[in-house]
Amino acid sequence: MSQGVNTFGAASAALDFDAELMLRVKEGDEDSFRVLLEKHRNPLVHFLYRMVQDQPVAEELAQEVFLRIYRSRATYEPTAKFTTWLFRIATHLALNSLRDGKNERGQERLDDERDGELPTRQVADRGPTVEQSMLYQARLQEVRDAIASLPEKQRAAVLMHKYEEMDYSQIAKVLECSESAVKSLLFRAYETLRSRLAHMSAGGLK
Amino acid sequence: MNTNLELCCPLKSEETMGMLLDYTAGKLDAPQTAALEGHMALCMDCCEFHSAQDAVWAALDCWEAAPVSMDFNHRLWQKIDAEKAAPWYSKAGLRNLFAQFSPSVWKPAASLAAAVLLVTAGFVLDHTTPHVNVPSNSDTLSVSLAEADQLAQTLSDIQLLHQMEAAGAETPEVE
Ligand SMILES: [Zn+2]
Repeated sequence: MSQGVNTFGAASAALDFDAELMLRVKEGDEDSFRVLLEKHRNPLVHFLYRMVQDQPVAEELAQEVFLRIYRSRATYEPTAKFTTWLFRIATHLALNSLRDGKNERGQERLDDERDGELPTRQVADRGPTVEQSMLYQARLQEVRDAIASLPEKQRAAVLMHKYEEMDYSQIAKVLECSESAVKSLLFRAYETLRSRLAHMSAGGLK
Repeated sequence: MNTNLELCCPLKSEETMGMLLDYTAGKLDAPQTAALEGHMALCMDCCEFHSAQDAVWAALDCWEAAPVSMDFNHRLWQKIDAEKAAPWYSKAGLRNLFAQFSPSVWKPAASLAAAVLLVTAGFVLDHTTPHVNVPSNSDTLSVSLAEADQLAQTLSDIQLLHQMEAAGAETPEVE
């Protein structure tokens, strides 16, 4: 499982602490901003990376998210969960980036990445054979393509649901829609993913 | 959430289908899990749905995100410091200036400014445009003048004819 998978659940439980930190940032405490940055940087970059499938673009967008948070410190009011605010900005920027075609080179970069990439899970085992490695890469590519094929909002909903472990109500707040709309987005998205990925047996990738 | 699954299959509505997604994600509590597993023992559709969703879940698990660049924080603080050092009239400076005002303040202010601008523009135009009724189509004007001219000429001809007739009546026949 990815690094970002369990971090959001922990962040949700610590809502008051995040808001408290942000209120301290509002009062001029930059160390509190550093704490927020350390805590949310990885989940945020990972979410953006899966959205735009381009690491440099994802990091650039994540930097813009944190810059906007920092710029808004003077007017910050803890009216919503900090993570909801964070992911709302991130989703907005990611959707704009996808529409502007900023990550046109994304696919080329992915190809470059794949050339030198070795699956860390298998490296940690006894060492994959060439065939195992090629099979893993092919399956990984299928997953990436399946996610990339989803309409943008469905993609955002699935990534928040699967990797950030957000519940329906929080995804609804991030996407600024109703809970039933989120459920509908998720069902349609998972339906597409089941049609494309269900042939991979549950044990086949581990 | 409805746990009375002996009567209602979760696949029958979007509201309850979330239960199957949550089951795969391991988010259901113990009573809901027991109820759903009891239902799935009897419902082939739910079993198939869960099996496919489980495969998708496992497939997505294999996609690990790349590690974040080591200099991420450093680059961010460089940007923050550059904005702090920027003069107020620069792009970043102006953005910071506007950041001081919440949308609840600047949105009505922007609307008011737009309304004032519109009224002012209307006033200025109203007082600078000369009040001359210029026909929009010069062809229409020329045709109208020609027609008037023709009408005057016809009236003049009729008048001349009457005068000639009158003169003829008064003139004795010349033998
Ligand atoms: Zn059923």
